[in-house]
Amino acid sequence: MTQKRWVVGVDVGGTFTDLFVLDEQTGTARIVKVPSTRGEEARGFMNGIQKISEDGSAAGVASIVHGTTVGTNALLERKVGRTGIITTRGFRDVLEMRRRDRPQTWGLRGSFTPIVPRALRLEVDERVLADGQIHTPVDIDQVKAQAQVLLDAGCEAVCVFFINAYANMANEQAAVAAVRAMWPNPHVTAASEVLPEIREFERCSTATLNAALQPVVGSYLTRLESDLRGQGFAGELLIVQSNGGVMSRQTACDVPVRTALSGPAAGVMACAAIARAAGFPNVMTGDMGGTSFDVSLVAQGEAALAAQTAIEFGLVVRSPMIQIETIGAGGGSIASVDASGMLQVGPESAGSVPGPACYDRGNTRPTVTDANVFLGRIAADRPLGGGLLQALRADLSEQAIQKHVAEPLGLSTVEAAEAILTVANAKMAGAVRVVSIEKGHDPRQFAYMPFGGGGGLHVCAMMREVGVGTGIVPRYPGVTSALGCVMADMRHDAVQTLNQALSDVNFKEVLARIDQLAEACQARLDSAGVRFVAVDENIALDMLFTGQTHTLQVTVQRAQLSAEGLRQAFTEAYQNAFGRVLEGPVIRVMNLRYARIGRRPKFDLSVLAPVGAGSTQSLGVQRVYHQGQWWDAQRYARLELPIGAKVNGPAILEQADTTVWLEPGFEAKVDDMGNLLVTAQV
Amino acid sequence: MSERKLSNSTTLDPVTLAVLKGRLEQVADEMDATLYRSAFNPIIAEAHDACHGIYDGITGDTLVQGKSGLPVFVGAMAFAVRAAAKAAATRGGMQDGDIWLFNDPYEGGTHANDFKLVRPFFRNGQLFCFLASAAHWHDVGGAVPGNYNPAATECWQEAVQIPPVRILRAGVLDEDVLAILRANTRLPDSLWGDLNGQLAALELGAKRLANAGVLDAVDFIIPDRLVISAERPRPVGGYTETILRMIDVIFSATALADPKRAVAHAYGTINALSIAGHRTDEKRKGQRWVMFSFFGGGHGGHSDADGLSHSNAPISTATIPPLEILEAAYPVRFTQWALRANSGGDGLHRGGLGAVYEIELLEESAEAFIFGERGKASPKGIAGGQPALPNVFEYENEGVWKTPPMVSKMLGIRLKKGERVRLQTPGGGGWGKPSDRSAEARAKDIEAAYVSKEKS
Repeated sequence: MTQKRWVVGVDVGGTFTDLFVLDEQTGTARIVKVPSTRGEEARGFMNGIQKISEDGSAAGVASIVHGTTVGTNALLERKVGRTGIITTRGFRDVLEMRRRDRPQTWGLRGSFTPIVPRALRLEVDERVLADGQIHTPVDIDQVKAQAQVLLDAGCEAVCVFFINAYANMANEQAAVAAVRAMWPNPHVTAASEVLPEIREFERCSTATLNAALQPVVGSYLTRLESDLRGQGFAGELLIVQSNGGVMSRQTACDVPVRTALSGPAAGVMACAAIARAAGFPNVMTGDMGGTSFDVSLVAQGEAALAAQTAIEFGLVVRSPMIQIETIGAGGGSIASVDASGMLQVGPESAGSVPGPACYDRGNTRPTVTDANVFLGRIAADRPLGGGLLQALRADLSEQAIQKHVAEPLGLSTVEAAEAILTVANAKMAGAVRVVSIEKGHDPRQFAYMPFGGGGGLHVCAMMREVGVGTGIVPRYPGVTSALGCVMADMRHDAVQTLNQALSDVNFKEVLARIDQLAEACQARLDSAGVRFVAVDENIALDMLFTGQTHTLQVTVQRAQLSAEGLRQAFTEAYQNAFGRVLEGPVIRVMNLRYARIGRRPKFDLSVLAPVGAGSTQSLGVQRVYHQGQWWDAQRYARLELPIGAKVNGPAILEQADTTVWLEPGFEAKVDDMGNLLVTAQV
Repeated sequence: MSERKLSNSTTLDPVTLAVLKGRLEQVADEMDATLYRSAFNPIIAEAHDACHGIYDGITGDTLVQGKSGLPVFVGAMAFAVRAAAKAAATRGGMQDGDIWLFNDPYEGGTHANDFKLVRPFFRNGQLFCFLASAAHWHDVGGAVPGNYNPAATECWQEAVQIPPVRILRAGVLDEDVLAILRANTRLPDSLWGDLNGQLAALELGAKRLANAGVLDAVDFIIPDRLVISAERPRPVGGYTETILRMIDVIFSATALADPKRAVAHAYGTINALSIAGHRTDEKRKGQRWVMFSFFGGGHGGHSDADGLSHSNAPISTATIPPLEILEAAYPVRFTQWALRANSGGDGLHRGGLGAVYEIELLEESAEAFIFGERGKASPKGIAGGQPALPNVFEYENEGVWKTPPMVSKMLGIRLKKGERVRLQTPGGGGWGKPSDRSAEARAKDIEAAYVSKEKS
């Protein structure tokens, strides 16, 4: 039998499928990059796997951890399984009515197509009241009849969603049992199983998207696993969740909605681990791609979580997920001058097709990349991607900037190009500040880690704008998500709405409930067949004053679970958040949140470090325009720089998947793990 | 209100301007977020009926306003800041650490529920700019819980009238003013919670403010003595309805000029519905409760597509509170929360659908109040599109469904346990001729029962 030696992280992106291959025997790592096969992700995936070993066999692979966008893409393209909803009489339109919102403030031209059409949303007699009382018992015969109607209409999946089921699941559970008994496949979702939390639209939307994704994600993962087995793979296939933890293949098939941010979450987890190892537990990450800039925050080594996200307008997924603030500022973001004479950058984007003006593929408007090319930060004859693109047309960048920005603003072309970067940098810095400040952090206490293809060009600008002391450019910024797959812990989250006055809470019951949640989460952890070095739990309560609707999350230890303990914890949290203590209003406990984390063995990040003497030789000089003048910047091959090497700005550091622009006044040093640590020159 | 001239504007290069504007907007956005998270009433917390901004220290002109607040406050807030500055000028001037508070609707627009707080911001001992916060408080006295009083003939019947006064003096809360405010509401804890949230938002804004720029201000002219420039003591509680009607008028006018870019009328009414009473259960006996909310309807069709169903009013970006939150907070049970078939105006692109909300009382007794519009005159279609269905309000009384004499407005409807009220809101108007609508679109409408067979 072949010895299992490799742990493989696989991130399937829009253009490339990246594999990060860790050899546990030799303690070395390498990267495999193959083209993605959109719509048939499993094929690109297998192409990559075959490149791991010389004979193409996967027998030597111990485990594969996968960040996938299959679910997200299916939702965006509405290519999901035909799905029905069975719900409380009077409420079949909850999914389509949303929270009475609209996609844009101005214009009133919004539209919305629900994932489940109205004709497949059926009602039955049943009703639970807000206090959990059963007002009308569920009519099981009606449930069966409606399930049959959905089957006859060709539904593959079904969601059972009853009003107030968070307060008492009995009716919904009885109905879902009846549906499961007659449904020909496992694609049956009970809303209160996925999210037993108050707020009907968010619960209905999350559960319905889950049901609709079950056939898609289920068949993708089943095919993937069987292809892998066919290739000799005998290890475990794990999937990254939006919360940054991994789950078993079976769990991913049961709750595919948890894969909504699978790929990006893995990237943030990798950044957290790299920064921690480099001695920076507090870091903000900035992933700059073609159309967007995604910011996340890692405090004390832990990535910040958000309660929910919208895949697009009206497609709401509520479950704990890595908080990612996205703004429309990427390499392809278009610069223009609006009617009031204001320079705008994005959100309109030329993307990668047709791409920036310098690609010469039909777009003639200037982008951020055009400004970077024209000002010498990207060498036109050596574009990113290592052979993917032809040489860039700097002359087309110049024309676009001249016509659309320089002329309307009365600036020279270089001034206009620099103005585009200044505005783009200010926008990105704004996003970085919002993410940190909203969580109550001072961004100046954090390091900044750029990743993705474009992040390295703007690292010094971000440091200047935000006031960050250290920039950390990881060794392989373009494959961070694949690396994150290998590093992520296994994590399961659960929630239960309590909605009781603090003085009415029975803490014996709460502790019993926590034990139940712990047991269910542990069963999920055990199902993956993965070894853990430790298992941790997080307990938090969403609390508020009676009358409020927004809650404050208060993290507690089991020992604090008493009326007095919680009162103190809440008062402290409220004071921190809003600067004042309120006396009088009754404190309520809305939700109990529980997370169980199985810590996977950590590998030594120094496997990424450069080996040997390398080279600190300059490859030559490149002219770069910066803050009103041209500079002679030295060019270096970034991956050749050995541990301890130091480079002074102005300098350009090149590698296949990114370029780092080191401004005058900054210096960069290669640390023990191959990261570039960027600081201001003393 | 009269025409104003621009103050001396400092010239800034366009790049610095873009950068500064972004930073200031961020401060205003953060103030918005702080209030939403800490507010006590769902009209602020969920419906975002609030606004924060930064205003010129000399003219009061708007520099920036938060993006998530109510669009209707754009413009009105500059007048509120000037009203506070005018009052301060006669009483010792604007001092560092003071916060001025008022709800006078004739100084700074909107209605008496909207309490405006104005805080001067000093730098190097000089008044530099103003930070202001406006938010819709749940109940501020008057004849009707929630203050939408369709029978009011004077402002005092609508709400307590508070002129600009200092709620904070040199950073210290004025307990006397707070006591007056608390005594003039049915829900003192809610009022204090919301006020506290606004104070926290202004505190945060002052902390964040490091830089400021001068932006072009928009001049606007509003003639006196129109329905849209009401003077004391004309009632203004339902100002939302006049503004929505103004928007419809403007939409119809633009349709004459360029129907392709115009959008048909939206549902055009805020439908302020309140149900209020006292608790009778052992634990909370005698406690007052007021459920107050605004309800949604359809948006108009446009050149690209059918209108959006169940959306918020054009003047607002408010979301509706979840019905489960309402049921958990008040003794009511929704018996229907659904799209209203046939309510969108027909056309090449149909209007979006309005909604049907049916609410049953679970307590022994309560009173309901409704203040809506569009009960008689439907939202109109444009470019040949048909009108939507009008607003319909009904209530149950001794087993019989009744409609108010004033159609969509009524005071003090007495409800007993088990009786219901039902609100059927208008859809949006249609866009383009119905004869141009495709057979496929019509078939889809019928399959989804957006339109019933007999209506098609």
